[in-house]
Amino acid sequence: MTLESLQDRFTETLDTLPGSPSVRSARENAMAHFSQVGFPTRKLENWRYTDVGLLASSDFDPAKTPLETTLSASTRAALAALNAGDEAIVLVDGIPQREPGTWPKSEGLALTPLADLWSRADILPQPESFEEAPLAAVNTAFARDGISISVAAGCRLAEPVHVIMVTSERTSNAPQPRIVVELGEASELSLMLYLIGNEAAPAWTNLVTQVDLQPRSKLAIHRVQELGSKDVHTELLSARVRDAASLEASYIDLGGQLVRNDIVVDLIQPEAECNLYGVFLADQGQHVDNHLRVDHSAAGTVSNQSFKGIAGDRGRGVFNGKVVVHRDAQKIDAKQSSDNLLLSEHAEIDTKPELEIYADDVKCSHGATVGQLDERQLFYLRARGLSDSAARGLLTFAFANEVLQRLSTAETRDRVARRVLERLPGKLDWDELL
Amino acid sequence: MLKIKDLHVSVDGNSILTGLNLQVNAGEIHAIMGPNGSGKSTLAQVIAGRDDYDVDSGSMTFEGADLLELAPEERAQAGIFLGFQYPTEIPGVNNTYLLKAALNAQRAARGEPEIDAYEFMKLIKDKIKVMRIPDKFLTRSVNEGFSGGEKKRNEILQMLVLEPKLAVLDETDSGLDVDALKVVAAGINSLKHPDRATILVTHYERLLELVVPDHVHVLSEGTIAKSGDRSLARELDERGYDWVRAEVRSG
Repeated sequence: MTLESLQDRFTETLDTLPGSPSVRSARENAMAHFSQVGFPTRKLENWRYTDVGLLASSDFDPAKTPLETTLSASTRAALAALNAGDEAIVLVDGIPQREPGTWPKSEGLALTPLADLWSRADILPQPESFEEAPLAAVNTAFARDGISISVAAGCRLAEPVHVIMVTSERTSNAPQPRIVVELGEASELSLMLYLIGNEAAPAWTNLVTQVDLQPRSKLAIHRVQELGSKDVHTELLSARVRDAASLEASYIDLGGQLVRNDIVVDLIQPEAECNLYGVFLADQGQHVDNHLRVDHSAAGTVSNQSFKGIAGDRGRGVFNGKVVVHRDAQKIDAKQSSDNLLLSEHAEIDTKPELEIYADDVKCSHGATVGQLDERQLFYLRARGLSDSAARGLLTFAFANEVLQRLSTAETRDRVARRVLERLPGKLDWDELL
Repeated sequence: MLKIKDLHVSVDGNSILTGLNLQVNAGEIHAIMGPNGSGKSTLAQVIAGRDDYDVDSGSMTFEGADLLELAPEERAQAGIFLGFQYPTEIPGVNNTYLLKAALNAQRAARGEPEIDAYEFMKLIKDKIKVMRIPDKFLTRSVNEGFSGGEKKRNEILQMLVLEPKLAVLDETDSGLDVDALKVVAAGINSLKHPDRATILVTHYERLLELVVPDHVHVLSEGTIAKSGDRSLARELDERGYDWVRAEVRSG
């Protein structure tokens, strides 16, 4: 959809979008901002390797009114296969499916559809700025719904909350969902977020997740993306981490044709910590771009970025990890690593860890590798009798597994590992690996 | 079992083996000794099928099959085992997994069914006892963070599980203390069988006190310069290699 049509669609649908007058004005501001900047082009440094031009030329329509959705049998099967339990929160095209009584209940846990929240509250929570992620402005303008998850101070939830986002098979589908996660002081939550697509109708999902962590709280988000092979996925995770709180986020990207994840974390108070992990598999023309920015705004903050990419066929992967250490943010520790495997000569990886440091007593390390499988390791395995393809599959899996192992729920970990294995060469008794 | 005739091997145009002949029969233990750089490790790796080396001429057969036509895994499946001088670390691949995958790959090649999980664990428990390897090593990544001695014991453990027809052990004794050397020797001796053969590639005579070879060969300048029985190993230990080299040069 061209910028002009997007503007027209905004004007046409604004009255139907939920929210108080202040939410409405936040939408108008976002649209005004986007009208100025437009769809990002490769002329922008942050978008150098990722061309989202197809969004402007496609018929994806963020304003499309959600219909009563029908899920295909294959999507239903995919949902069931997630094994996420009966209490999973399912959003279809960004709209939470409200079946009373089926959402998880736990003391201190509040789950609210955002459309409800916007009509009551005066705010449309929005990212600090759209500079890092211009498409988040489109989300702000058009978001119809989503889910707010908040945990009261002191509450530590034992069971993970599962959120499943699924796209329906209608045409021009472009959901603009939003997730808001707020953790009270010293609370704990683990959130599993699944993105499921379909092969019948390509969709553009433009997700914004906002995270606010109060002192000493702990959040783990494990996000597993298994969209359809023609889907476009763009996303912003924007997190503020306070005093001694910690955020762990793992991004597993297996599907999609064009994927762009912006992960923006501000460690705004002392001792705040974030661990960002990622694994992606890009083949058959898939493009996966992980763009990270961590701001060390306070002293004693700790960050770790560890991303693993596997690109085969004509797949392409991009990693751009930036760490900004602000003035007076002394004694911080920042680690970045981007390790990538190229499985084919037509695959491409562009990786760029960046550091900007304005303090003088800091510990920062970064490294990036792009390589093929280790010939010595391959020979070692083959000399033990494993076929060349089994050895390659095993080593590729071992490479990804260093990150997969961190997924905190065993069923999810095994399922994701299995999905990775299915995509790898060789036929071993993979069950033994899990 | 293994017949090598007039083998010429080079790397990037540099000759390493220059007309090597060797015959190893079932039931025999051969020791290949020689100074650094004489081509001992090259020979071991070429037998296992490492493709960094160019075999320029000559022949190599194993039980009548042309080894040069076989991929490394096919050689392993035929019953050849290489104990690596520097066992490779493989982070993320669990030691037990590799043992089982390797065993099953070889069983499949022989048309046998996969080993039953219970039988496999029993086998492993037996073998780690022989090698005095603690249980915890089984769940660790292959060779990752192992000491030099642990890596070598792990190689022999793999050999015991796979029960190869021909084991080529490349400097398995280097870096071992006396006790570990005894454990490794006991492991090698436990596989001794009239249908099997072993080639020990070594610098030192001390392993050969524990695993007694039937034949000792001195590799010098890319070819076998001298062969004898175990007394040759003792002589080399006392006199070094220079005299062999001198003999070769004087023809």
